[in-house]
Amino acid sequence: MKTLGITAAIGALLMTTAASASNLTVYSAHGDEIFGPLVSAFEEKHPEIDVEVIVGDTGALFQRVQAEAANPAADIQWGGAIQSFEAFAELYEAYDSQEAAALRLRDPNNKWFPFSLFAQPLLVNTDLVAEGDYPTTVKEVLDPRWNDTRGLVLADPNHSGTGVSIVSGLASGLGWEFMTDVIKTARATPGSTPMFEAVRDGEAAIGWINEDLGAKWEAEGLPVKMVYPTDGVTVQVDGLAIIANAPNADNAKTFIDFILSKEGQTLSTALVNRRSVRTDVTPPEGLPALDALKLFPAEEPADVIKAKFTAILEAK
Amino acid sequence: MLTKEDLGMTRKQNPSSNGLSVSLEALEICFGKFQALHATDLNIRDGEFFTLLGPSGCGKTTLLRCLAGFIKPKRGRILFDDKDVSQIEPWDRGIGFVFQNYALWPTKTIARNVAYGLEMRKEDKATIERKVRETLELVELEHAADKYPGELSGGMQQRAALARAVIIDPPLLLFDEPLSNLDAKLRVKLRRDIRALQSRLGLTAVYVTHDQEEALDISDRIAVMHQGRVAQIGTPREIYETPVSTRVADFVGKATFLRGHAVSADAFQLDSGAIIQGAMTFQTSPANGRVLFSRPETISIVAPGEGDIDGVVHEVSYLGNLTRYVVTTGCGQNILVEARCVAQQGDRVGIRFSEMKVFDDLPDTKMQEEDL
Amino acid sequence: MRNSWKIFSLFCLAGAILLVAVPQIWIVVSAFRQDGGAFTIQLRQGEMMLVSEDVQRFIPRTDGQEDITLERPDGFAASVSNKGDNRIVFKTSEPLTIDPSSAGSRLVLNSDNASFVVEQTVPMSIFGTPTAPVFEARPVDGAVEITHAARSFIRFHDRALSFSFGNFKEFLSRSVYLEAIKNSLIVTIASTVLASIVAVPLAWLVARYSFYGRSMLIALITMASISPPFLGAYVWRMLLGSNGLLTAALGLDWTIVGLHGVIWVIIWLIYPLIFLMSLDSFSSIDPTLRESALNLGATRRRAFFNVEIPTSLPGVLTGLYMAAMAAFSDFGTPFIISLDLVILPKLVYTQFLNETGGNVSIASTGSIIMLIIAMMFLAMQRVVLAGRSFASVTSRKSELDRPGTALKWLIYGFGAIVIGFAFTPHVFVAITSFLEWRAGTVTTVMTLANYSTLFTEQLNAVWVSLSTAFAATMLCMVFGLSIAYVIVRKRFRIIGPALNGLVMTPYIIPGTVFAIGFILAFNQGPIVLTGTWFILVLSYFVRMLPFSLKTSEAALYQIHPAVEDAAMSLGATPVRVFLGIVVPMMLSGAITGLTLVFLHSATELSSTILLYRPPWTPMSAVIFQNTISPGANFGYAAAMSVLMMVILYVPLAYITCSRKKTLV
Ligand SMILES: Nc1ncnc2c1ncn2[C@@H]1O[C@H](COP(=O)(O)OP(=O)(O)O)[C@@H](O)[C@H]1O
Ligand SMILES: [Mg+2]
Repeated sequence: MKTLGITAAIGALLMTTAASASNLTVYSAHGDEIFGPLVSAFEEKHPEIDVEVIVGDTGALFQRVQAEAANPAADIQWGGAIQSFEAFAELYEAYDSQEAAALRLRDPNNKWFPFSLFAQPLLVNTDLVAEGDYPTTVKEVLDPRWNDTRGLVLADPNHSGTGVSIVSGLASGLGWEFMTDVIKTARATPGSTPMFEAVRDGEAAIGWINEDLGAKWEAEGLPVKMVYPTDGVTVQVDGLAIIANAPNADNAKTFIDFILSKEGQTLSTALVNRRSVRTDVTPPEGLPALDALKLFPAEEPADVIKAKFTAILEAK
Repeated sequence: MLTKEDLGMTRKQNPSSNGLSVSLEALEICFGKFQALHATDLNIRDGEFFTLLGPSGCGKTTLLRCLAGFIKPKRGRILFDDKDVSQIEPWDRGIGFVFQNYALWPTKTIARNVAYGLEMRKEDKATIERKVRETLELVELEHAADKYPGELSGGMQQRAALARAVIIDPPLLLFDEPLSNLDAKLRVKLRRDIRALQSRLGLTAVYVTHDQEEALDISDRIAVMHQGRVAQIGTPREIYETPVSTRVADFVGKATFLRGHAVSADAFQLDSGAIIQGAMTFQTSPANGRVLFSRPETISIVAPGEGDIDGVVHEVSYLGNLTRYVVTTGCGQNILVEARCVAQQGDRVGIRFSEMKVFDDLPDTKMQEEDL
Repeated sequence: MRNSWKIFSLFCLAGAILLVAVPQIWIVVSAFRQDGGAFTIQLRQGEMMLVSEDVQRFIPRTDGQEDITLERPDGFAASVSNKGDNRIVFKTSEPLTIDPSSAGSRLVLNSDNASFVVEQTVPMSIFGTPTAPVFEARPVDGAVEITHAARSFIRFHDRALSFSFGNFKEFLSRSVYLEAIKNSLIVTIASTVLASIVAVPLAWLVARYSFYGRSMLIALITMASISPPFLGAYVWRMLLGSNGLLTAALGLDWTIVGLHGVIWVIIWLIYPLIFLMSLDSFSSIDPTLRESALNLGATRRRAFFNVEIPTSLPGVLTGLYMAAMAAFSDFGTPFIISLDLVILPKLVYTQFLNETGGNVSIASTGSIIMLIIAMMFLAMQRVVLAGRSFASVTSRKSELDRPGTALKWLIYGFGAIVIGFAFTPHVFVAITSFLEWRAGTVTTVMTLANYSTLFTEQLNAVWVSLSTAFAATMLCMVFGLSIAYVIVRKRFRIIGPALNGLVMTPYIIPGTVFAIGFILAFNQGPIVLTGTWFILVLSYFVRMLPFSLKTSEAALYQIHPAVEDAAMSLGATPVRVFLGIVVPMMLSGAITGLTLVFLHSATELSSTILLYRPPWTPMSAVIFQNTISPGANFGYAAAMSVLMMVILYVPLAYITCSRKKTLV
């Protein structure tokens, strides 16, 4: 006990000297491998701004921002489907960035900004599925052959923005009749990461994946294979936003401008293997061109998707 | 902390004593609705060894704890000498308490346990050390000073507890069945030690026990308690020889109770019809005499037909100095006899009573036994 | 004397209200409040229809091309009529006004008893030039005319809240929620029963027998009681999942993912709790009790069942209760180990911390139902313990028996299995911290890089963890001991149970939910603590106090009140009695709880991730940052976990070993 006391006392002393001088706080749902390079580049360009990043789970961050709304601690929230930002729109400050003109898409209310864009192909576990058996279309996820190999997983849109964009996109492209069968067949995971990892770890034979992550896993030689179905691929847009009443709103705007700028987007495309949201930045190598894919962006809003999903599950 | 002077203690009555007198005036104790002690008056003299005796649950501990201040009375007063202490907190009463389970503190050594009361009185280190040594010598535990309670036997622990209580030089020492967790032989030795220590220190002691033999052995006076009431107060001899009720008679010592009714001042007819004649003391009006009582050592065994009544020896137990017989009379009543004579199980013998008392009723326990 | 304890308990009650009731009252409030419901209409090529799945609390009356009418059970009615030309008119049974906060594609319309948020969503386009949906509103005779995009969804959501039991009705009638309750009970009961089958006999053997390595065994099991956050579940999945290392090595076709896996992992998380608390109470049985039973002719077996089990029951039951509650509220294990299993803590967590909007009312209702179930467990424990007086003065040390050879090897075998399973995650992490991780999977390349980054970048986290955990432990010691005393000895009629209930509540509130309450309470108003060192300390203190309280209570049950009377009669005031006599006696039992407090505080994650703000970043947050995203650097997290284990385990092992030698 005594030794502990001394250590703690020294610790407390040491800490009081560690002062923080940051003037831009970012809540990030992305890991260090994504925000790290971009934040470094930003700080280099704007030496007067010192960025502090707090990493959290996407859902937890939305709730943290909401709980802190009366006296916000952070300036930027970064990471999460734009549908999620849309659902929490009250928490954010509108900003009319001059970079917005070059974007593929934007929030009509200027609350959120797109950060990156990625398709969501199918992911197959190659230990469980022989090469000749890979599906070529989304329709094939209903094939009974997956039943023998731990089946299909789908992120529950009630808990996952990724789930919303997959269900919403596929429903708009292939119809609710098909989607109903998919929902009844699949196991619903409580988030997108559990879905990705279920296929990677062989807990399921097939599921969907964000293409940047899938490409990375393939490159690492993990037992997974991405398949872009010919009959339809969904796309998701990942966003960021300025928190309402942010303590450092001006720095936050500078940060948004940087992320949306051609420079920032070129950098993120190169570093993090994601497609740019700008029309004037070429996509990263190795990913198929968007025009070559039959794309189904989300159409129905999240609340509708969630209600329909739950209704189908309960009828199961 | 009250000193003896604060308590208004006057040494006049008994200048050799370091004790105090205790008076209860209409003292009542309740736990919620349950009345643990009914209005009780009691005077304990300065320097007296006073025992509360009674069956388990009769309220002895409760009364003792009330003397110590752990329980506040509902009504009535407690006087130490002439000072009302009823509302004084236990830590201000300055009296010693010895517990049944010793209640030594396992985290402190014996010396630290014993020193505690002096530390609370902020005595200086040297005094504490000296007094602890002296007190441990007094209870013959000087070698165990640095041991922990867990390393001592039960008897040693109780002596340590005694040392801890007497070191503060209390005018009043309270004991709550201090010996009941010890084996029989140690019990006898220790109770003599306790008594010797008490007389030597000249303090007043109130001692709780349910063991009548222990009570008779060491007490100046005894209060026999029953269901929250004091049934009789007296010297051991008075309690034993002239119990005021069958209840007291039954609880203190062994006895035979025979049912019937008194037919005259010196004749008692048993339910079986047999008539016993002789001198008998009436503890009730002769018209109400329903029970004949006799102690086993006052009864003798004689040849059949020569005694007051005949019977068959049913049980024999050899006690060394005496032999105990259970003699069953013709109508099935058992008579307990302790005598020096020779009779075998199954012998037909005569019984002769020499000291008899007549009471109006049987104690509850006896009645149940007979009904069985 | 009564009074000063009463004042103290009132002070504690006030503190508990400030730190538990006030921050968490929002859960209760939102569980009993329901919004006015919602519905969505879809517009396409001039046609309008109701999205029948997304109609909440309203009942559609007509669903025509021109007109949609809905009614609520309380009589409130709403209708939407399609005026063509991309215009609709929204009308309710009460006149509507347009709120000035309306902006963009979000409209707020108020009436006497309703407050509608109307939102328009248009299909996302990533190739065309974005067009803002036309969303203009204009009052028309108490109704509102709204313009919309040709293709759009419009959702009407009445956010006005009213008191209602509706959430509970919904929770107890829908199959998914009932399934969650059932699964939670299965997991709690199965894992507690199985863990106690492992822990109680082992605790008894260790309490009764002396053998080489005894204190080491105790130290190891204490250490096993913590593992860095989520780690156990992750590693078990890596080992025994369908592609797991062991599964592959043994050529099995099986997976740990599922209900059985959740139970398995939780067993190894909770058995140390049962073991430690049972050990404490088995060790402190007054040996004379057992001996006198044996002297009176009881067989060893009868002495065990008639004397040892009854007298050690409070400690064992406390252990079972704490373990059951830990199993009941564990959210991390099912989150990682079960893909689609619905279970209460996971349900509550995912409904609260939801990136798609969640359902706070249902999450709150779930929390309340968890609280009620937890209270039932507590009541069960109380009923079993009620009316028993367990006090025995341990005045003599238990002599440890020497086990026979067979028994000795039984103990060793038993101990080895238990420790082996409990430490599997730790060992695995320790090994992998020296390996290179890529894309969230481990390779066979040896490296020290994980450690070098750690020592250059994140050592501050060590101080934050240790200092916050230490401060929380000290607070838990002071208040755990004294509140236990108030509850067990003073038995104040209302204050006692209220205090007990409030102090125990945080134990079963999921950490994240708890943290949201803390932010709501301490981010504005008179006390602003968010982002400070103190809020971490307070959160650990309040969340871990139950450990300290329960072990202190169990210790106190074994102290005979006479030891206090003895001190009092010697002139000690109640305060001195408590500090000088009772506390030292309680400490030897309470130290188990305090050790747990320290370890759990130093590794706490679920509330930390919402409450910490640099520079007060504790180790657990660093580990978490490097585990959550699929591309994270697990190697770094593994290295930090190892550092954490070394920092916590080495002194712990030392303390445990030396303590068990001197005190027990
Ligand atoms: N704290 C208490 N609360 C309620 N009843 C009590 C309490 N202490 C003792 N009693 C009751 O008072 C009566 C006398 O108890 P006690 O004084 O301990 O008896 P004993 O003569 O065996 O020492 C018993 O019936 C007992 O149940
Ligand atoms: Mg008693």
